Amino acid sequence: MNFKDTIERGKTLIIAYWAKLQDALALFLRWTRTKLRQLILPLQKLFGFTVIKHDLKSHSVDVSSYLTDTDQKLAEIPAGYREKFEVYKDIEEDWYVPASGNIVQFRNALKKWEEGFASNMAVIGEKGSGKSTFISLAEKECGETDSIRIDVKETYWKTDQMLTLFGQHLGLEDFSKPEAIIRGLNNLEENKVVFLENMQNLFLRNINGFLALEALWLIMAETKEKVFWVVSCSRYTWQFLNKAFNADTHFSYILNVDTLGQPEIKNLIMNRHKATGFRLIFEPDESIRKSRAYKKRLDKPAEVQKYLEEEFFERLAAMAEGNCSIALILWLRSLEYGEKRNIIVRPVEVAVIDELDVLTPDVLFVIASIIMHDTLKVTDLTRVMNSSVMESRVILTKLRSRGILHEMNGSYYLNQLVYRQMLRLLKSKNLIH
Amino acid sequence: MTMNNHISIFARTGLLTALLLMVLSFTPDVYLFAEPADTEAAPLFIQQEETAAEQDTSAANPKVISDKIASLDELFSVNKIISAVVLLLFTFLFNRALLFLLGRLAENKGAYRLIIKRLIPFLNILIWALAIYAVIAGIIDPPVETVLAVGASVGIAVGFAAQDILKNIFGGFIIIMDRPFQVGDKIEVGNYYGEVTAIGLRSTRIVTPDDSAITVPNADLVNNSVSNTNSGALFCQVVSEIYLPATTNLAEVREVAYKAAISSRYVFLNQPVVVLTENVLHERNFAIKLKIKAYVLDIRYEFRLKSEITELVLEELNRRKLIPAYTRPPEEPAAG
Repeated sequence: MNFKDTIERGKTLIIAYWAKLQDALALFLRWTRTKLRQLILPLQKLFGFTVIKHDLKSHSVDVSSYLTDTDQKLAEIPAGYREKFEVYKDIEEDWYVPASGNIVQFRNALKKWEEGFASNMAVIGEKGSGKSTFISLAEKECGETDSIRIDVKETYWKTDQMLTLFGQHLGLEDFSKPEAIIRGLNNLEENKVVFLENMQNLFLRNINGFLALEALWLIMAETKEKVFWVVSCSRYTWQFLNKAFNADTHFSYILNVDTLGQPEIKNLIMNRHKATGFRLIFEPDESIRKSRAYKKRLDKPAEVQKYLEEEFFERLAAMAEGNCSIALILWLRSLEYGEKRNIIVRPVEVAVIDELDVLTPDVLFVIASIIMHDTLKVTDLTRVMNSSVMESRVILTKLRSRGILHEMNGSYYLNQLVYRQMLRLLKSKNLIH
Repeated sequence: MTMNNHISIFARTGLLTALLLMVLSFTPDVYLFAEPADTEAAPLFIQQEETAAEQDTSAANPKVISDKIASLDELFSVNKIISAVVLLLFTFLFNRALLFLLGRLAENKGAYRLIIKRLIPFLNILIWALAIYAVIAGIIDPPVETVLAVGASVGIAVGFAAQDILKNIFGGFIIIMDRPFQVGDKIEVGNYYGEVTAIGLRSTRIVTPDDSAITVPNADLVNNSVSNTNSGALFCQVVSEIYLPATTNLAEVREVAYKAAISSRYVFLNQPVVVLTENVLHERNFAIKLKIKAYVLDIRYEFRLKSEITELVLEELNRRKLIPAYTRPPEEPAAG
């Protein structure tokens, strides 16, 4: 090897080392940038420096991708399995998990009323917390006593709308005035149990929106001896009516159906799951994987699964806060269909909504109104917000396009996947109290 | 005796104390706090004679004077001045950055907005106090006599030249300690009503509903009556007043007013809504003053709630023809 070759080789070596050094430097810089970003991002978020873009597409990534992902995940689950977990469907009696023995309380109340104690009952719970299921089961408890079920599907805030509905269901000839309904019911030959579903649809939060409700208070008070009224109402409507009109003084018994604890939430899901014949495999998330409690069980797979199951249901119950439909939908969202009739249960994920640019104060007031009424049509929202039809329509359409609201037959309601997060946000801003 | 008198007496007492301290500090052989160990045995008059003699000697001796100048040079050396300036500059920047971040945090965390904002004046004072202490004790590190002398001189200067500023500063301390209101509260002082945005040492800033920033000297706030609307809570009471003819159907009006209040999206229903009526004389005629007292869910919506309740009540009373025709807007002509 001559001197020239040595020089060339030296040059090549230097170039190679230089390139390696550059590479290492680039890697180091990238690593530093990533670490800094990881450090800065939470701080930016904390101090409100996160850039909130006004482009409709760009900032909805979190919720939109979460919702799209949910649809995709639900589609991948076998239809037979999914059907067992459908929220708005009559369920088998064995699957029903009552909160703190509500059915027993209903049975006792009914017995006392039959013995001559004039009374009535309110069934309170969040949207999708099992009020209708409770009423279906309570209906079966009535035995020989004649029962009628009235479901208020639309908003009837005018007295005559409600009286017509009552008249049709109760089979009364004269239902022109509340007094006529009272007379008709008191003249019945036999006592009746009337299940009135969705009392929240009998009012609008408007200066003239309480007429139907006032007529209902009157009818119930005057017919208590002849009719055992069981009225279901949404949680936040109830809170409002309680503060504004002392609604609880109109009822003898108040049952809360949205107070399911962790064991009940677990039973609710496992009762349905057992009917499917699938096998569950729980998967840990990153924090559990790092925990000592998880690591020390690694040599015993059965114990690992038991531990993961407990952890999963603890988090699910915390997220659902007693609401069964939220628990069911989050459960379905966590599933992934595996091989050989195995279903993999991934950790519970929730959408982050706090930074959505669409959630301006006016929009938050609209969402608070929708939560209070459960569902609202454009015209109803106009009355509630004292705004124009155009303004209401724009806000509702915007929220629907972002996946925050759903629409059915012109009525808008909150997506259950963001229900809990939205409630927390509104409570933190004192909009729901 | 008003608070103003208290402050004046406080300021004057401070001045006198400062004067006394200055006089004492320029007579170094009168020991303020402790006697030196070697003077225990000597009678007091002998000590005084000896010190007088030493003073004469030192005054006449140029070496002693040059030593003192050298020690002063050492005390205020360029290094120390630069260090002090750098420290104060750093404190200024750090303070601004911290207060800015706290302001952002307060706006970002709605539920804790008022709590965080209340911390700001405390932190402001604490940071500056620490910085000044660090400059004096850590960087300049002067002898006690010098501190007393400078303190007294500053005391006199401030006392004579800036009595009003001193009053305001004492007022600021009183506001921060006594807390008659805090940042985020809505207060009424004199002719001004608005949200307190900053409590400084000299003055307090409030922003009025029409978005004007008013700077009120702290002494004025201490000497005058201050009405606090929300006293630290997020909600506050709003009173909407409507004048009606004495012949109005009051039962119906009360019902309309109550429903208007509970229908408003801005109302905070954890507190009661109260409707009151009052008989008043207006231009030789009896009239009814309707007062609707409701709480707003966030003080920022105070005027919106007031406006919405007034609008809803008047609209409904007009619709029900509960207000005489001459006070109602003309009815729309029938279609066709």
